[in-house]
Amino acid sequence: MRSNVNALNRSRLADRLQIAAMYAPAFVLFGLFVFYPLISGVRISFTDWNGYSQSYSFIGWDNYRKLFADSNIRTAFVNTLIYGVGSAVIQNVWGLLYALLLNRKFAGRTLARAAIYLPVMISGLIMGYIWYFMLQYSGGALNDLMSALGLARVDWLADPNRAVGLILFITSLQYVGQAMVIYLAGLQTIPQTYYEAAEMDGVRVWSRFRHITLPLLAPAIITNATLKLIGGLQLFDLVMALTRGGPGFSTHSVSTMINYLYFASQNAGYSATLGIALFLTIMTITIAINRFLRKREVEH
Amino acid sequence: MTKIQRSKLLVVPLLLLALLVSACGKDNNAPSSGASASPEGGATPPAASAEAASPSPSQKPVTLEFSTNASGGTLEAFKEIVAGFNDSHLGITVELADLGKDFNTLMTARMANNDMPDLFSTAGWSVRRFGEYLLPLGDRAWAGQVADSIKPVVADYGGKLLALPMDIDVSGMIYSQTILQQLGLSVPETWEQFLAACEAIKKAGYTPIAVAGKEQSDIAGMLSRVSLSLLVQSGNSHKSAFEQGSFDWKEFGAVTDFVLNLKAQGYFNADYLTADKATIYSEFAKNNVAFAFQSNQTIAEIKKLNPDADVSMMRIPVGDASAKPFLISGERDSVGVWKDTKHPEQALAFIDYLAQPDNVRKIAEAYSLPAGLNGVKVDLGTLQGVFDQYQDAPVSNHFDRQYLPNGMFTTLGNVGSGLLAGTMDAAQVIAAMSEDYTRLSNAK
Repeated sequence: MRSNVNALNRSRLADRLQIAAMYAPAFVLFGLFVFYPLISGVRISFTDWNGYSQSYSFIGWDNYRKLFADSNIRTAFVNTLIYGVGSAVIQNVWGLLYALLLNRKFAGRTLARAAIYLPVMISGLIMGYIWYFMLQYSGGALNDLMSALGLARVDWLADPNRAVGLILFITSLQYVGQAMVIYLAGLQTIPQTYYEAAEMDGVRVWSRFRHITLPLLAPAIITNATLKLIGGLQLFDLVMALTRGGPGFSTHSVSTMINYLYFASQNAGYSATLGIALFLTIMTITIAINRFLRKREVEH
Repeated sequence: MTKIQRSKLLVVPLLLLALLVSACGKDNNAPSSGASASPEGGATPPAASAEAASPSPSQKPVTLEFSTNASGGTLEAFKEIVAGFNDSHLGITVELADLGKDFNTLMTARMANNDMPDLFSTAGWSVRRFGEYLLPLGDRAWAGQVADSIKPVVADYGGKLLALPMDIDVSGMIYSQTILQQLGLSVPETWEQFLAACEAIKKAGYTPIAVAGKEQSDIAGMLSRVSLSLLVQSGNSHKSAFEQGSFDWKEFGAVTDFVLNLKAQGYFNADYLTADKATIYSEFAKNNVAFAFQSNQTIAEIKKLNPDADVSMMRIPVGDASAKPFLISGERDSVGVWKDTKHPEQALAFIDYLAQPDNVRKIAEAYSLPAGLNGVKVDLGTLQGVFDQYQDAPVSNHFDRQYLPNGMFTTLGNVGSGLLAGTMDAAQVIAAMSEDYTRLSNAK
């Protein structure tokens, strides 16, 4: 009897060891590439390190105090929220409309899906340069067209508000295909019988959408909202290609500002502080959105 | 699950772990025989000739990493030289890493890890940025040939030569001779004459000054030149205050006023906030623009678009007639050796090879610049006459490299961009300059 118990315990221990061993690579990778940089970032945020010197001093909370008083940082945060929340809303609404349209059967449907998804395949940097060539004042496609029509040229990216709006529009246009694909997948999981039953009961199109499609699409909405929000909050390459954060600091996102502070301004300590602030912002918003949307999920 | 299966399953993650740990280990290449380098910079380079550095058959082949920010014609010339070296030095392979616009970012990361390339371009900062990572080169055979005008720029405060200067970045501003001749204007020597010329050019329907505002380095170049002229080279010079670190940044208002006046008068191109440099080259090639605060590299780029474009270099004007217009003479394509390289003998062999007159000439001619070593004859092309004409002109190192701590060129670009965009006023610009000056001066 005792030997059987011992054998059982040994077997359980072996199982646990085996499970631990399977987890180990992931833990090591996570520790090395996520946890260690995060802890390093927090440590650097309390220093005046210039980013390359072999020595630095700890300066307490100075960088954090400065962060709250810095108008350029405030601009970068406001822009980041516009890029993040704005592009999440636009891409979700736009992507859902595309998905509803392209879920129907019609000639050229596959071509339309491919055309909408195609920009996702291009890197943000390349997309930024393509749009810069379209928008630039001298030799830009849009201005050349306007000139041909007898209209005055416009320096589209010179006005800070317009430049932020254009960045928001371009990033939304580029990644709306991704949202559309997720919604298409979500729509195809909804049983057709629900719609047939509702139709037989005389339920109108809008009510069917509101009471069947939307609740059953909640997982897709959560996925899309989270992905698009994080993508927008981390926007970097498009800003660099289009405006490099200018004019002045007016179109910087927090990501481009982190890059500027670390590598150009040689202010790595302050840059790390901003990185921590961005991390906390993304985490807070993501948790809040997930909690809000999870309540609206419906099982079928 | 049997014991054998279990143990097999355990082996896979353990192997993965072992692989990961070994991949994260340091490069354990054994140092090559020859010279030794102390960790604190007391390297003792052997004064070996290039030929002597070729390893004997018993020695292991050595690969050297050479990182550069060179672009265009200079990069092509470096590639040609590296290929020639690799062909003629059996057992040594130099791998040229063309880092382009990522040079500063990547080198910053390398410096932070104290893991530098064996050889690297010093990109204008051989002393103040890279000085602590460079092997002194004063004992090389070519050291005595370094031109007097560049020697102070590539030698530290103790006089130790830190890099091989392939050329000297002599520049001022660039201008369209076509437009000035067409309007009967002479090349301005004072800012008063410059403003009068701008007015005439604007009235004639041309753009007086081109600024590539998308690239803040272009705005920084403008502010740097104007600052050097108004704050150092003109009558009321603050040179000694800069040198003593006691400059009153309120005086920088002269620079912000000057730039704001150019903007208010409408002398800049319409897209001065968003144009890139390629646009400026194109506008010069079409003879639409008269002046730019850019170096001679711009002339070469314009000539690629329009070989007949009559664009030349001029001295930077000054604030009053009692001062003399001047040129900037600084470091451009200089190469140094990492003091902790595992292969100092081979790296120095490459530096010696670079210093051969034909190689120095190739780099210098790429952008029509004088050679960094005496005795190297360089064909300066269409700029030969201008260099001859201005050979007695006063010269100064770049404003930021001479009078500001490393990192403030970026600040100049940002405050300039903010000033032109209207997102910063003069007081904010002065405050930002003062703050960064203090912060970067105090950096360790």
